[in-house]
Amino acid sequence: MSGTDAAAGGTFAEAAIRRNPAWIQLLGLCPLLAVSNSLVNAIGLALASGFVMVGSALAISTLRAWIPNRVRLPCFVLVIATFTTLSVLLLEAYAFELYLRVALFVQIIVSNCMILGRMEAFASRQPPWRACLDALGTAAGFAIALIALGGVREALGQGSLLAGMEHLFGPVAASWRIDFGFDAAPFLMALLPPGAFIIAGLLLGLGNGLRNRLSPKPSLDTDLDEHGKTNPDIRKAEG
Amino acid sequence: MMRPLLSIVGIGLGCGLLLAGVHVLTEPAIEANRSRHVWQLAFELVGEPFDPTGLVWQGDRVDLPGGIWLKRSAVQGYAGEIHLLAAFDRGGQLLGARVADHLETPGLGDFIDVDKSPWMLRFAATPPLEVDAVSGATITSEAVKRGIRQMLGPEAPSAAAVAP
Repeated sequence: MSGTDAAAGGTFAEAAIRRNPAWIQLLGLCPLLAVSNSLVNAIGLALASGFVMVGSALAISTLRAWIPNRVRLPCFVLVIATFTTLSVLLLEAYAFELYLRVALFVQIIVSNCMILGRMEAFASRQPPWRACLDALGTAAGFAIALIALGGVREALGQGSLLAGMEHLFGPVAASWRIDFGFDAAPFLMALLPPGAFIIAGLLLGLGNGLRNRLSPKPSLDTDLDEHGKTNPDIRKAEG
Repeated sequence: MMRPLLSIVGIGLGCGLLLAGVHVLTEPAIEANRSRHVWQLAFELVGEPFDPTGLVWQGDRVDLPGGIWLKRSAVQGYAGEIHLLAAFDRGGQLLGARVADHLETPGLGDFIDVDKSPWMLRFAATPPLEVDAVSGATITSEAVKRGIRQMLGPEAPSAAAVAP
């Protein structure tokens, strides 16, 4: 049934692109800025966040009839914390090298407002398959942001790309490394926290510029409703 | 009135069971990884790989063939316990020390990890109390120095003896 397919694709694209958690909603910036100093760390955190996101969304959406409105937030946090701990255990058991690098950040996924926000706004009101799609989309959007930032920072700061991928994908991936042929770190600040802020700001500006050029839209305050969602009625009225 | 409570208890129980199950499943792999990691650090400290099968920790100490022995200890750092591993030669001289596991602030307190900074290497040549702390991470630095001094034993110079 094409209607369902279109709705499914719409849910995913809406969550990943039009409502990109990092670049549009500016959520989850703490782990985004902290871990994105290389591609392998960025991908590791993106996978762990995605696992927590999808697992929590499925669980909460399935249980939504049994979660009373008054205690919904404690229940959401309980479920998210469980999946965060699960991801730490699984990382430590099956990807120990990566665990040594990103464990400190994986543990704080539980406090990522991006996840709690999607549980509250979407997963707790929708059937599991839609919640799952939305979670996948949000996770993909977060991954896009992490990988973009991680790639730029690794290229500028270390002069390489995909270094250390063997920690994530096994020995085969050791040869994926691309070197740009610098002797020393070309731009050390890109690896340090101030560089993360500056590069994230530049990427955000680039994204906004592209968006404005591709589809000129009214400014944020008229375009968004109170959920941070694009409201087509307002646009129509103005267009 | 009771329904919210029942829901939380029910969900908490479910989450707990799930965690317990996965913990049981992953524990052998996690233990193996941790022990492999510690031996890896030991190879670095001793300077050459050796066969760790058959070596058993007696408390916090293990003797390697050849007279070298390893010691491990845990000290309270800034954000949690810092687990240290040190190697000593036959005469009780410190060969070097490594951090096996820690929870210090990423980017600020993680210089104690030799993958991030060569700071830990100084302990091989310098008495622990003479190693400079890293500014901005005094608690982490002092914790590691304290831990290594404790492993050196009571005969190590005390703070009063080193201070001018």
